[in-house]
Amino acid sequence: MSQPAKVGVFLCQGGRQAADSLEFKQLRWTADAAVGGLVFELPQTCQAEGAAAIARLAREHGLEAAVVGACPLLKNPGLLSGALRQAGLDPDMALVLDLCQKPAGRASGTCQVAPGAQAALSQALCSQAFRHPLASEGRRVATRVLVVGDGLTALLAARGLAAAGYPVSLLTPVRRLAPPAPLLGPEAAELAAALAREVEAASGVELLRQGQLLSLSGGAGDFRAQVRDRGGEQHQLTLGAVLMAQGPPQALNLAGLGLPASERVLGLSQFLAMLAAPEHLKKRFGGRSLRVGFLVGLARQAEPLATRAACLAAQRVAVDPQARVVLFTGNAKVAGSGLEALTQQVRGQGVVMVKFSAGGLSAQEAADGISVTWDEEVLDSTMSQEFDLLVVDETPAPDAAYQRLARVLGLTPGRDGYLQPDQVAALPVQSRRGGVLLLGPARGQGEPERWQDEVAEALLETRKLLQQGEVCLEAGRVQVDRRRCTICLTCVRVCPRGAMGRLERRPVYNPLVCTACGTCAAECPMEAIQLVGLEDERFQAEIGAAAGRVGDLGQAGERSLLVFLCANSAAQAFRAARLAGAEAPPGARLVEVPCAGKLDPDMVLAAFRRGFDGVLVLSCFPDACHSLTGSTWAGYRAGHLQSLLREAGLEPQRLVTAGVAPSQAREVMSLMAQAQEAVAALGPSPLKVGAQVRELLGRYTLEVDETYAIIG
Amino acid sequence: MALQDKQVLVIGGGIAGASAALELAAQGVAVHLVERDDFIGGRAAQLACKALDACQKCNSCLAEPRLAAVLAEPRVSIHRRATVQGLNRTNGDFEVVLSLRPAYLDPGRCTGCGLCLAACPALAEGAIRRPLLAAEAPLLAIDPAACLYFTDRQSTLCRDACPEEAIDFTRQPSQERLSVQAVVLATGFAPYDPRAKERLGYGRVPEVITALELEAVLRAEGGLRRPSDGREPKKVAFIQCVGSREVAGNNYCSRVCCGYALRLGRALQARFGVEVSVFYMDLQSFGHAIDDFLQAAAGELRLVRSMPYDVYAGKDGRVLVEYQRRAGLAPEAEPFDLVVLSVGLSPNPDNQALAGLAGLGLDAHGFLAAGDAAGVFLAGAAARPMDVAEVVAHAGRAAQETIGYLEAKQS
Amino acid sequence: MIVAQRKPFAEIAEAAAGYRRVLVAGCGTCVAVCLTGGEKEAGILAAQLDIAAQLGEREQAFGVACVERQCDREFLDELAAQVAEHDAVLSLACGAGIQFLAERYPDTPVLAGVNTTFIGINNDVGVWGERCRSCRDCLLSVTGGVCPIALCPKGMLNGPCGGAEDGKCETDRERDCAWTLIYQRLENTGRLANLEPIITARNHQASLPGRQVHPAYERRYSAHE
Repeated sequence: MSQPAKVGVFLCQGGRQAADSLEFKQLRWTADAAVGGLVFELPQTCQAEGAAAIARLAREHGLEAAVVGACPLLKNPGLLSGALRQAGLDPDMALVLDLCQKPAGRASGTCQVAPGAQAALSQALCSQAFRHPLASEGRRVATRVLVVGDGLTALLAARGLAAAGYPVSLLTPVRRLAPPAPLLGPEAAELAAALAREVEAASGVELLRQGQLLSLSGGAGDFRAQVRDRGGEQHQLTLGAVLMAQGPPQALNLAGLGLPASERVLGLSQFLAMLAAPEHLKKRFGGRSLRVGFLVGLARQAEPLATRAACLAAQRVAVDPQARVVLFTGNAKVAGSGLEALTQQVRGQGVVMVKFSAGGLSAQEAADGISVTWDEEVLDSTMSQEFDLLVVDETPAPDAAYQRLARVLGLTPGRDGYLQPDQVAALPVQSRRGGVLLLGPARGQGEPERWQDEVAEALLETRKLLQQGEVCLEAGRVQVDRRRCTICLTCVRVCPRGAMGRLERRPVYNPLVCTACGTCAAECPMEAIQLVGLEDERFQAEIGAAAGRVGDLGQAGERSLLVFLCANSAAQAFRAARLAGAEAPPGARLVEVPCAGKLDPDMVLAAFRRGFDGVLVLSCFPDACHSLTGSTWAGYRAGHLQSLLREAGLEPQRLVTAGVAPSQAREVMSLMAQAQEAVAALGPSPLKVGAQVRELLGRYTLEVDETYAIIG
Repeated sequence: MALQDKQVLVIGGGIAGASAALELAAQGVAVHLVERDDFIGGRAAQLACKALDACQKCNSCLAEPRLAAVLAEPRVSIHRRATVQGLNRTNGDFEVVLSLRPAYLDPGRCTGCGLCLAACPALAEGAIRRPLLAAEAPLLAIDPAACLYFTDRQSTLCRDACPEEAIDFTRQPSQERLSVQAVVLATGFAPYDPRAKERLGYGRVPEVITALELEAVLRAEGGLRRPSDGREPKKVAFIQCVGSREVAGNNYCSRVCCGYALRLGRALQARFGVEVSVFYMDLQSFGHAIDDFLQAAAGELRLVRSMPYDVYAGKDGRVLVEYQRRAGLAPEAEPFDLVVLSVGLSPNPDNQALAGLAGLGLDAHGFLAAGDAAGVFLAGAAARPMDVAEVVAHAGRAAQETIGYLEAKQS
Repeated sequence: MIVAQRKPFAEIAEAAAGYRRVLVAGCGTCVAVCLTGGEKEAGILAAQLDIAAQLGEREQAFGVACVERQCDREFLDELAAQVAEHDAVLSLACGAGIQFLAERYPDTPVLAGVNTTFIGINNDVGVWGERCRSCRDCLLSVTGGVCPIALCPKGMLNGPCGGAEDGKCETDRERDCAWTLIYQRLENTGRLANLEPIITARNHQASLPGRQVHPAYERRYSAHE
């Protein structure tokens, strides 16, 4: 580690009453002991003047980091960071601590130093000692973008990227750009055709018709793609990003109906294409007026697009007053522009709309057509009708070629057949691999009017990622120790965003994509990965400081509950709760982690060895993790930790985990209280006395090896 | 960056406006974000987390980080209590006149100590409010509609209690002029007012609430109580399509109600052990893995495919919901402890005026639609019903189109 | 690579119980890759043992060290100072490493912390599958890259036993029948003819402790024989 940062401590006096108290003096002593000469007391910090004073003093004394002992009011985004920025300092240099019993109680005299403030200050001083601002470096990135797909979304993306000045390679599965997509309707078809012409003519777009993506290695800003063109030749492309707009192939949504394949059962797209020649259609089925049954949403839920297409098709068939048209839907999907009105219109034109429920519809081949039987709920009877043909909607079907393409892209289709993980943090267009964005059909978006929005989002993301080919990023956050790394590939596999790749055999991280969640560091079997500023050493020091010192005033040595709070969820909820006046359970000590993924088993074991009665881990709910999978891995680790504790003879219930959302201020406090109670019911930790004795003796002995037990 | 001298006006400080503002700021544009309320956040800031053991992907948590980010973004200036009074085109730029309501509580002095809240006799009516977002603290705001001073010109308990002398009832409205090169409208929607459906009992029966009210209560309290007696409800009914899919009226599907109702229902059941029934016509699809979700919901909740037509107070404080399950069966009046109306997304009542002001049009339902004016863009549910994730994407598009327009103007 | 599995904790704790100062020695190669005996696991085990010792009121202290490999002399030499300070060494290396460590430090009791399970592959994070029994007479060229000795519980050498159902093994319906896999693989690559010659009974020479000299070094070791 290089030179520790020059740290200053600012203490908010919160009124004379607070400043005169013994607890405040303790804070002062702790601060003086750590950074003697750089401790400043301010009468008030929750106001613009206070923030400006901090900024001014920080600048005058050349501070690189600051610890501000105040209350959550000062964490108001903009207040302190704005003042620091104005003074020409890094807005992230200050760590604001919540040391106040009741925030904003200055005038009412309740700005008191909270119990546990001294431990919190010691913790913060430990963590700021590890603060190591990273330099930014300029990095050249590839600007070529690969767009996969041939439909409206892919063409919109290709055009948008080309217009923004990015060279584009458009890889299409079939030869023709904008192949017929009857479901989208005539307007979309026209738009697609016009886009196809534009894209074909665009000089910045390289067309790879009927191309095959063989491999995609590397990471965002520097992908290496092997592509085989339709002539069989292989090309290598160096890409900044990949936009995947190709959806899974579709099959008839017929599972369970038990009808054999026949020319009387058609897909909706197929039928719409046939409607281009209606006389031919009529001739095919006996020459008389058609009896058509539309079956939408039988096995899997249908999309509004299917409802629209079915209605439009039904309208065209119903133009013939002798035709019989019935539209069967499980749920009428009308959540799209004009769809509700369309279904009403269609009914007015003589199309019968029938709702069926799961299992309530069956079909058999009849002499001159197909007979459909259903439970008619409204009339409470079973009804039956015969049709010349059944037109069925289409939904994604498993397909070997699509699975292969997905694998090459580094993605896995979900249960619904689409490529985007079902997680809030991936919305709107992210995938599990940084730099690969998902659009329209690839992520299950069936409605063309929303494709434009997604393409715009993807363009904005691409701009942010690649800029104009030169990006300025923070470098060196994730350090991999070559001496320890055993190239087990665990980090590469667990990284939620595919930010860990390999260069010359060794793991190397991609700062364009890395969110510093710390999962790689926590999972590495050789402790070879450290995140700068978030090192194992730092957390160990912080946990030690959180344990407090035996014999200090107040409950400093109590060590009842150590709470790990994830910065993206629990820490925010906690701050909201504090601003509303709630207090953490006495004796609880808080350690903030960037993501639950960073939580190392060593940290939890260290907490218990320091004598904490219990450990509570508060993170995002599974599937809501801000880093996509951090809380999932943390969940596995916590389960494993509980069995490790049980093996060692400690009650596994001393480790509690819970999910919380950033808006759940009340819940976060009650989760802490519940955990406190549950742990208290187990009694004090059997390791506590030993830990306290060790700590006391450690203060008076020159050198005590922590791994040796004390005799007697 | 090329766009650094450009300024854009974003009207509306909800998730749509905040998202658009952030994307514009990321490209170097200076943004004036105008919000008519005392706080930003709009409707999305009222939404609650509906997680069971795992996230239900209601997407409400998309709002919080973006709103916090926009508060911290130096390139975005936020104008609170502001409405756009005038918007005039001159030489391709827009001259904006903002009308600013006075801030009786000076945010520059307020420390959020809360002494005024403690002193206020009309607190329950909302005379002094806290922001919903923790990121906006310590702001407080006085609402002249509920504050007693503005009726009796005497009650000044809050001002007397304030140690920072932050309260000044003599503040006057003011104006501010801005010059911008493009405008984004992100004025959102209005939740349907179910008082129009008299028979559903809203406003008459205290135990009939809207889903938005339920969200706000869950978010703020983390618990659920009946409005009249404060007891915990054991049996809750959701009625779908209130103010949507009406033949004469809002003749469209509001898209988000099935999603939020099923998730709210599952959350109530998992957290408070409530029995939930959902009365619906059709269940709309939303998000990924919809089949799995509906299967799970159907297994946990009681889904009744019938629209109730009458809701009224019954004996012993319960609410009766009357519906007919099938033809041939007698109508049933089923008792519940609480009835939640899944209200739809109606167009903002100001849309007509906004359209006139900005040179936009209105669509068949009254939502804002693109007009002839160049340099004016639409973001979010002001254009049509959409959920939070879709709003973010749509706002992204508005920002991207704005950037394209500004870049084209430069060359 | 060699895959190992940590022994049940109770067994480890009991074996170590008689010693005051125990060094937990990790290995940074195979057992680290299979997440069983690297630096992290060594640290966790030492912490657990320390907790157990305190709870069991035993006066014990646990040190942690991790070397690149325990099957090479030079790396084992690096432990000399720490071994000298401890009463016993708990090795998390594979069986070969544990033994070599014991040979290198014959005066210090060496305990095994893991069971060496098999030679195998890594499917994904946290899951490994056996593939090889080191029989010293590899027939993978013939069987299309599927080993019947490792993957067939009966070790059949010339086709399936007849108990397979739907391609699944008679002994475990979750496991694929190795000979079904062999057949499919050979068929896929046009080599079904490989099945015709009989594979004769094996010489179970694998039961004798092996010693192997690389041809290029034969002269060196014959001179020193």
